Amino acid sequence: MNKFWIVLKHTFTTKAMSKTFIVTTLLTSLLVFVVFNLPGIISYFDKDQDEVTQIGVVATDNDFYNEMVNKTETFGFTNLELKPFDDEGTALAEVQNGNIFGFLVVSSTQDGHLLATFKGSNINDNNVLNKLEQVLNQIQFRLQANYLGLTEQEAAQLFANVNIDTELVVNQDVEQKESKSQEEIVQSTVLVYILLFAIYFGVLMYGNMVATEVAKEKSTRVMEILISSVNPIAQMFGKILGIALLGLTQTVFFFLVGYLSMKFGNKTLDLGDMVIDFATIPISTIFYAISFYLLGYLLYSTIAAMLGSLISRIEDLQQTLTPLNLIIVAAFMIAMFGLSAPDAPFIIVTSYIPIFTPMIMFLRVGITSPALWEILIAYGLLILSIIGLAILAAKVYRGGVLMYGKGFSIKNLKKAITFHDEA
Amino acid sequence: MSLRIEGVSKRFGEVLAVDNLNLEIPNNQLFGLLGANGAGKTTTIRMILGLLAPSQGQIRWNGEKLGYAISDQIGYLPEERGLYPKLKVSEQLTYLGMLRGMERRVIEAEIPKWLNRFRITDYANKKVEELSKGNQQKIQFIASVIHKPKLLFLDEPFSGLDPINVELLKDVVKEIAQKGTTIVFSSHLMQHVEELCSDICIMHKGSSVVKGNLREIKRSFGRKNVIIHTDENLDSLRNVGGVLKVNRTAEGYVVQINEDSVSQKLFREVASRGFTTKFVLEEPSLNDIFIEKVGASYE
Repeated sequence: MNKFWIVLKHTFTTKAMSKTFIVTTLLTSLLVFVVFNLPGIISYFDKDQDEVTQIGVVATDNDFYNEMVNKTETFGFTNLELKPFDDEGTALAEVQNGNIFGFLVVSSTQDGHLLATFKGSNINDNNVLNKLEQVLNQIQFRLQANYLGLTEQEAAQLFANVNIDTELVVNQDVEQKESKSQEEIVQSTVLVYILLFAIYFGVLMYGNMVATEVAKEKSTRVMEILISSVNPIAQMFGKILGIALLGLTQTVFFFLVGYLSMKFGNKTLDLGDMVIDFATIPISTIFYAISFYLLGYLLYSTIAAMLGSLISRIEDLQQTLTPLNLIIVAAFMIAMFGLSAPDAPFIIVTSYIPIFTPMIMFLRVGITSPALWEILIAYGLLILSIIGLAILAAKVYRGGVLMYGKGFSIKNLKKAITFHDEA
Repeated sequence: MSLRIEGVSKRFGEVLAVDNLNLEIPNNQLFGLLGANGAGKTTTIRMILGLLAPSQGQIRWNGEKLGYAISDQIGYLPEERGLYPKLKVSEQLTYLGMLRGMERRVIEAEIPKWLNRFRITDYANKKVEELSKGNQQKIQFIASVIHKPKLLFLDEPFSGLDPINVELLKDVVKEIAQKGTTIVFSSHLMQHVEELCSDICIMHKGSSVVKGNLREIKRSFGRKNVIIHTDENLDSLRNVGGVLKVNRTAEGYVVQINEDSVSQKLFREVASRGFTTKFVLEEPSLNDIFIEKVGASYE
């Protein structure tokens, strides 16, 4: 056991001290920081938002000007300042002098329509034009209502929205489950999406790292010295767990960066239409994410270590790992499909298949509420297959590391199993 | 107190790599394990180390089974060299030493002594990939002996070294042997084996064809060599009774004979022909024995 720890520590420290690791960790942390502080960063660079744009107004009716000032305030367009002008000539001169951004000529027709022309040094600033349009729309709305003889309230009723109230009917079969509300589902879908991606990426990256380590030791032939000093099983698991620890360290680091940015920056992540509030992430989801991530990694890296032990040249590694990588990609694809249909029978079935479980069962617990026994069965099957594969991998590894000059094949896999003990 | 290999066989599928091998290597000996390529030496060493399980028979060291429980007492320099190319020499030796059960600070105290001994003191902080092949080999040798093993396996330790370093390494090997380490030495280069080993075993097709004390093996081999340095043409010596082979060399002839008495007949014959600068009766070389025992079946 002592030597297991030496291997673990060695694997961890040589990897953690490597330049590649430090650089990727820092870059990813920067990315996490940027994502959490995106709105702040954008507004920092987007100084225009704070600058007040001065717009001249030349109106046939002085009331228009006053009403526009009112509406601008109601909308909260604080960076838009309106200035009245009596005629176009003076306004034009001001634009040419650079004192104002541009000016608007506004008049109304008999039937309550507004005619407006904007003249300015820059007529491509949609930001300003959109705001002006919103203000004028409101005024035209009042004019139209007047023209049609409606009060403002009556006119407003024309635009009233229909609200659909939702009410959950509990199915008798699933009575035991705590069902999630629609809002929770939307919220958790995005969260699950992000975490699924993290699991997918982490499992692939660290699993490949294990295989590369093993293949490197074999191709540089340092392996023969290693296995004469240390039991290959202790050596293999020292390696697998050393890299798992490396992954955890990195993840904890990212969480810390995320947490600190959240504390000092935005608590919410704005993805266009969707806003995720990180303060409301359920602890259970984090627990499931981490445990499925770790178990998924163990399953994958055990297979990867086994495959790594069978090849002689590092060049053959990617080719040998491809089928395994494709299975992980498939799991990710199924999970993506499952985001919109987490209760589909296909998703439920695949969530019990150990190599798919880490992603698909996580998807189910993240979005819907499978029964506890379902989760436990999935965990159980996953853990059992990890143990089974570990026993197999240990046998293959012990023989495989001594076999040279052969690529990967099922025949070699069988040979590796019997290589040590063949009678 | 010895390493005993009793009736050991190893089969890989259809191939019988080692066939009923029996050996006893007493402690504190420098033992030579010889054989042509593919004779089963590496498989035998791997079985002794416990990397492979014998299909039949058993291996005991001082009555104990070899395995990971006692791997701290064993040193191994495999024929295929390998170190971590990206690790520094000191990190490398520290890691490999710790895997043989040494404490970090003990290793750190030992490293300068060894590097000094091999005249590579400045390389402690260099990456292995920056070292020449010969220097990498020295590092690997240090890695196999730094934990002061009681049983040491050296598989072709001199390959890739220049003559000066070969001598340096030989001295170190002799010194380790004197301090009481049992060394199993495997090589193709007979002269090294002759110089270092008191006992040998020649393996062929998985079993031993010659084994025992090197001097006795030579004595009982019967055939001897007569070295003759002369300018005369002596090709006709072929016809003398008891002469097995006549080889021409740059300075004269090497004549193989089947017993001592033939040399006297040869001497009279040579003396009658003309002037001879050298006439020596020699023990057979290990090379001759090896070629005789192993080479015959190649033809």
